[in-house]
Parts: sequence; structure tokens; C-alpha cells
Amino acid sequence: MALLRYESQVRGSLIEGAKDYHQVTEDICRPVEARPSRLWWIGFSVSFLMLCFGILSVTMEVIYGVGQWNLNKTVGWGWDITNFVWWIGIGHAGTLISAILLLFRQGWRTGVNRAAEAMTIFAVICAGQFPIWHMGRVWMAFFVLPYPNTRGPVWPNFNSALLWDVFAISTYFTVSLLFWYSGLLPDLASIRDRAKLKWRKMFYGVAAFGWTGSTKHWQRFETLALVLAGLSTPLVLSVHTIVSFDFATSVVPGWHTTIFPPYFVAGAIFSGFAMVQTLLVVTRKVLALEEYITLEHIESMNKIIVLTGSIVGIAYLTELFVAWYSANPYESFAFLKNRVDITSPYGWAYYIMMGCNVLSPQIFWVRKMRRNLVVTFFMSILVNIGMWFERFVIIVTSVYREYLPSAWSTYYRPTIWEVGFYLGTVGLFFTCFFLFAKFFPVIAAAEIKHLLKKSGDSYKHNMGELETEPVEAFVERHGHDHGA
Amino acid sequence: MQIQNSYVGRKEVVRETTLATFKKYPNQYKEYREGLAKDFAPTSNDFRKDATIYPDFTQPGGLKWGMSIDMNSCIGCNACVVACHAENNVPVVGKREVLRYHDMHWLRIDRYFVSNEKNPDELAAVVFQPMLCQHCDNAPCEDVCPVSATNHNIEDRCVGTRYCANNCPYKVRRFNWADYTGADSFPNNQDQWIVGKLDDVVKEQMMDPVTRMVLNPDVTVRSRGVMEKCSFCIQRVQEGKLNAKKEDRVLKDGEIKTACMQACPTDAIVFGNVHDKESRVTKMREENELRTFYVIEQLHTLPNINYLAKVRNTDEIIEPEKEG
Repeated sequence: MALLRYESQVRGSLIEGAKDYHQVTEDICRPVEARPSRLWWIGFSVSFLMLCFGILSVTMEVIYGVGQWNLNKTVGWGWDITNFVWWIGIGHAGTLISAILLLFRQGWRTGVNRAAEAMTIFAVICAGQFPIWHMGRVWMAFFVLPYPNTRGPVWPNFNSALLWDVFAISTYFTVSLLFWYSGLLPDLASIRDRAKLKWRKMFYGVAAFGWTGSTKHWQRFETLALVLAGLSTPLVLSVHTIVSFDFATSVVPGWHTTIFPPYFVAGAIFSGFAMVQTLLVVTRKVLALEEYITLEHIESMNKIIVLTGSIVGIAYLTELFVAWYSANPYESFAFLKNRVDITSPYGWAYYIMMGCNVLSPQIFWVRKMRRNLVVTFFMSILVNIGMWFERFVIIVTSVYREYLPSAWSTYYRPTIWEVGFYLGTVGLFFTCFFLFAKFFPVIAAAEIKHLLKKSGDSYKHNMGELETEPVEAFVERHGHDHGA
Repeated sequence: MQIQNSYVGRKEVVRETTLATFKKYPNQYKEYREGLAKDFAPTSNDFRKDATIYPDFTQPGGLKWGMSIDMNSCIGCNACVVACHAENNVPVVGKREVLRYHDMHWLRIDRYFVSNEKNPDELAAVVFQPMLCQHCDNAPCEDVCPVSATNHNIEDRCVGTRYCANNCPYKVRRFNWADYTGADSFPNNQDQWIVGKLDDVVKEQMMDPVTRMVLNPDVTVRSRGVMEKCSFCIQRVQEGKLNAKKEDRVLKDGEIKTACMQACPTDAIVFGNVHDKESRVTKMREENELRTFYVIEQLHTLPNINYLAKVRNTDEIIEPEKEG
């Protein structure tokens, strides 16, 4: 009777507890409909304060000039671009989960995709702040846009990787936003239909775009999901590839590296999944959604973390090998002297990166560790520290000592406004996430319902019982049903 | 002046040797350059064309400005640096900003010590290398600018991403970190109070209308947030060309002098038209073929500034390392 199963017995259930469709709706709408908890208010206020400090920091920089930061004539990019690449990397998990895992029919994505997509959007918003506000004349930022203009007309420079960034990131943001929002429609309609207050009816009514749940709507919904998944799959790979071109197309030793595109993409997915873990381990606890975001989900993501972390590790070692093998004295200086040499000014940063990104995730080869929440949470933070340092190492340790020794005499450390800008984006990110967790369903209820009948706990339990039943008894029971 | 104790064996940056070595191996630098040309264009033999897919940029009117700097003559006096500041309205940023490596020199003197590797205190020589924009034909800074602001001279399009400065291997591009010259339209934007406080003298000077008369009216005053660099004194070049045009004659060699060339007491800097077979800069390169080199030429940036190697008058012989 094992043929009755949709899914192998070795797979754990993705929805725990005896749930029916109504219960799923109840559980997922509860946080949206209830008053926010004290914990939510504390988290939101702290995030919002950080955001305000970030706004102050940027204001200072815009009024007084980029000299408010400690960048200098040798180190032209520092925390600004480090943070940009860090955030954009984090923004890669959502689309990977929603698009690529959808195409691969990975059922476990449904528990985490909504929150991961939201996180992606917020991370991309945070990332976008840096290339904009790091400009010396931000009020001229629109010069990068290609449109017919009265300045000649002049076009932007299509040779520049920074311009490719403009296109890559805006496309990615648009597609991710569409994907996330279109997925939200059925759930927003559920909340609208359950709403008792007038403003809620209004708000969710407008937000649900008149979703009725008709078959036609569902049919279009599924098609749209597939089309968007097809569109965003190449984007997951292309966006960070293009970000890596910011460095790879330059002449700076340590940046000019052909291995960058795959290395950056793996790193991006690595850090993105770590950020999803950080958020979900907390969210499932605070919103009491443990039955929907199960250890099964956490474990699957930890597997991806150990895989991508190891790819990143191989990339690091390949870089070192090539630095030596190329016999290019400038490149080997950048790698072996500026980074690997622990006595060099930034040697410490290289080893933080190595420790956090390559060594520590190896702990996830052990199943027990993959399913341990404390370990997972701690590791997720560690990975993102490591990935921040990876970008810092690439950017700063390459430029601060490149070709001409005369330009070397600098040690770059950030000012309070650079740190403030970074904290501000962290604040922005969590402000957005807290608002999202309050006003939107953090789990895709409609999609969970699809899963209920194949990966739900009660289903698996019933199937287990059915399997032990002798064939004769089954035939006896169902033989005369005639579809009744 | 940017100082560094050693050029850490980066011979492509600084060429210096002793007279005895130069006599024994006179063709060292020439052979290196020929080897590079061969490596870059093994089949086409066109060294300039092989590194780019773009057509060769032809210079209108047969003009192509170039400069030759003789490191043998340079005494590191910094007169060129001062002249450059005065001519081109290069901001004087004050002590506090210099300490933050925000100095604005378009032209600087790089100083390196030559010393015994085992015993660094045993000083053999000092090398001065005036370093300014190399006016590359294949410029790394140009390709990376998203708004095409770096194409040889256009600053009013700069939005200040600083990518060009990162990608300049010579590190000669300078960014206006603050409103050093009072050129910006933001009010009170020189009153930094936590970070990057400007020295009073810088602030007052540039806000005082009388002191501002020190500024050269032929050169723009840059606002904060834009990049700038050596322009080969483009205002002087334009003036020279216009004078020749008005008088309907060919531009004479030496008619146009950059500020640094004019100020150099030892005539180490020679500027001129390299397409003119009779110009001083062309002759300088031809006559000193064995000493001519371009800084980090292997990057194929195709600079228009060449240097002449420094030859010290000692009997010590430095054996060349075997190229691996």
C-alpha cells in the first residue's frame, strides 16, 4: 500500500499537528489580526531608532560632503560598497527559494518563501541606499539613467559595470517585488474576508486587487507564478554576477579576478540563507509558528548553507592558488601579503572571514547540529559577519595597497557616520520586517494548504495507518463505494 | 610629497640603476619594452591596437600632447607641485585634511629610498618621481565611470562614485571630499562639527572675497563631490592653440608650457606635441631611448607621460635578475 504516498516515508512532515484548512488560516492570520505583542513594540522601536540615526548620518554626509567618511585618496570605497554588496548578497535567498526551488518542486519552500521574499525586497532596498548616497553629488544621481535629455543629449557609459548594476538591481527589485506581491494576493483576500473593522476591510480590500478565488483567478495565479519564476531564475545568477563585475572588470589586483561571478553568487546565497535562518528562528518562536516552520525546514536550509559555504571556501583557496601560480607579483602581493599575512594591517579581517565562512559552517555536516536551533541561530549570525568581512577584505585590502608603493601609507577606519549609515540600513531592514510581520501573513497560507495533503503531519499519520491495513480490508471497505 | 621607504622591488614603477650597471647592460629597459610589445601583439605587431576592440583614436590636427620627465634631473624641490596648485585652483586643504589623506595634489613627488635589503638603514640613494595623471590612451579610469564623466576632461558630469580613482593604477585622481574652495551652493557646508572639521585658515581664506582673487579665472573652481585630476593645463593649451589660429600659423614647439614645466628649475619636465618629429619631447624620447620607460607599462594603459630612468654615478654593479 506504500504507493498511496505522495512522498517518501523518510521525509519528515512539513506541517506538524492535526491541521485542517481552517486551522491553517487561523494560525497564519492570528498575528495579523491580534494586537502586537510587547516584544514586537520593543523590536520595532529599536529598529526605528536605528533607522533615524541612519538618516541623520546620511544627512550629515550629504550636507558636508563625503569627507564625513574616512575614505581617502587611496581607499575610494570602504564601508559604503562593502555594505552594498553585503545587503545585495543577502537579498539573494528569497528569489532562490521562491523561483529556483519552485521550479525544482521543493515542497519545503512554502513554509519559508513568503518571509524570505520579503526579506529579499527589504535587503535590496537597503543595498540600494549605498550606491546612491555614496555619490559625491547625489542630487545628480539621475545622470546614470539613460533617457533623452537636454544635456547634449548625453548617454551614460555603457562600458561601466556601475551602470550594469543600475539595470541589474532595478530589474531584480522589480521582479522580486512582483513575485512577492502576486503571491500575497490570495492571503490578503483571506484577511479581507475575515476583517471586521472598516479600515481593515478597506486596506486589505484594496491590497487584494479584487481576488475572489475563482478557478480562473487560480489558473492565472499559477501561470504567473511560473512565468515569474522563469524570469527570476536567471536573475538570481545574474545580479551578483554583475555586482562582481564592479570588481572583476577593474585593473586592481585582488579585484581583477575571473573567478568572481560564481564565487559571488555562491556567497550571496550563503549569506542570504543565513539571514533567512536568523529571521525565521526568531519569527517562528515569537509568532508561534513552529508547526509551519519546522526543524525540517531549518535542516534543509542548513544543508544549503554548508554547501554554499564550502563552494565559497573552494573559491578562496582557488584565488590563493592562482595568485601563486600566475606568478604575477602584484596579484600575489594582494593575496599573500595584504590578506594571508596575519601581521599585515588587515590580516585579521582575512582570518575572521576564513573562520566564519569556511570553517564554522562545516559543523552542519552533523545532522544533530543542523537540527539544533541554538547552533543554527548562532551560526547564521556568524556567517553574516563572515560575509561582511569577505566584502571588506575584497574591497579595502585590494585598493589600500595596489600598484604604486607611494600611495600605500593609509589605514582606513570608518567614522561614526559610516557606521551610522550601516546601522541605519539595519534599522530600515528590521523596521520593514517588523511592519511586514504585523500587517502581512508571514507564511503563504494558500500554498501551505496545497502541501497539507501530502506533507502534513495528520496526512502522514493517516497514511501510516492505512498502510498497515491489509489489502483485503481496504477493498472490503472501499469496494462498494461507487464514489459515494 | 608622498613618501614610502622603499619601492619594494617594483621595478616597473621606478627604474633606477648605477652608471656602472647602465654601461654594462645599456639595453635593459629597451629590451623589457620590446618584450612587452611582443607579448601584447605577437601576431599583429601592432602594440597599440591589440589591447582594445575600439578603433585607434586619431588626433585632430596632428596634435598629441605628451610629457617626458627625467628622474635624473628631478631634485624633489616641489616647485612643480606649488605651480600646479596655483595655476589650476587646486584646493589647499589644510593640516587636518592632509592627515586624513585628503590632499588634492594633481601633481605630487613620490619619494623612495634605495637601501640595502638586509640592512634598510644603509641608504644608497633617494629617488624622486613626479607623479601626475599619465594621460593614458587606454585609461582604466574612463571605462568604469557610469556617467562618462572621465572622458579626458568633463568634470561637470561627475556624480562622484569614485570608481575611477579606485581603478587608476597611478592613484593620481583626487576627490573633493568637502567644499574646500567655497564653490558649492549648499550654505554653511564648511561648518563640520564632529568629523572632518576644516582648518579655520582654509575656511576663512576661501570665503573671503579678496583672498579668492588668488584663483585663476581661466580654470573652474570645483565643488565638493566631484573628482579632478591633472588636465595638462588645458587652459594653457587652448590659449596657445587659439593664438596660433588667430595669427594663422602652425603652433610652435615650446609655445605651450604646463605650469609644472615652467616652474621646474632643472628642466626635468618637458611637455609638447609628440606627433611633431622636431619637438623637444619627441627628441627627448629618441635621444634617451635607453632610459625611457613608462610606469607599470605592462598594464597596457598606454600612458602619454614617459620617464627617463635615474642613473646614479657609482661603480656598483647590480646584476639583473633572471626573468622567470
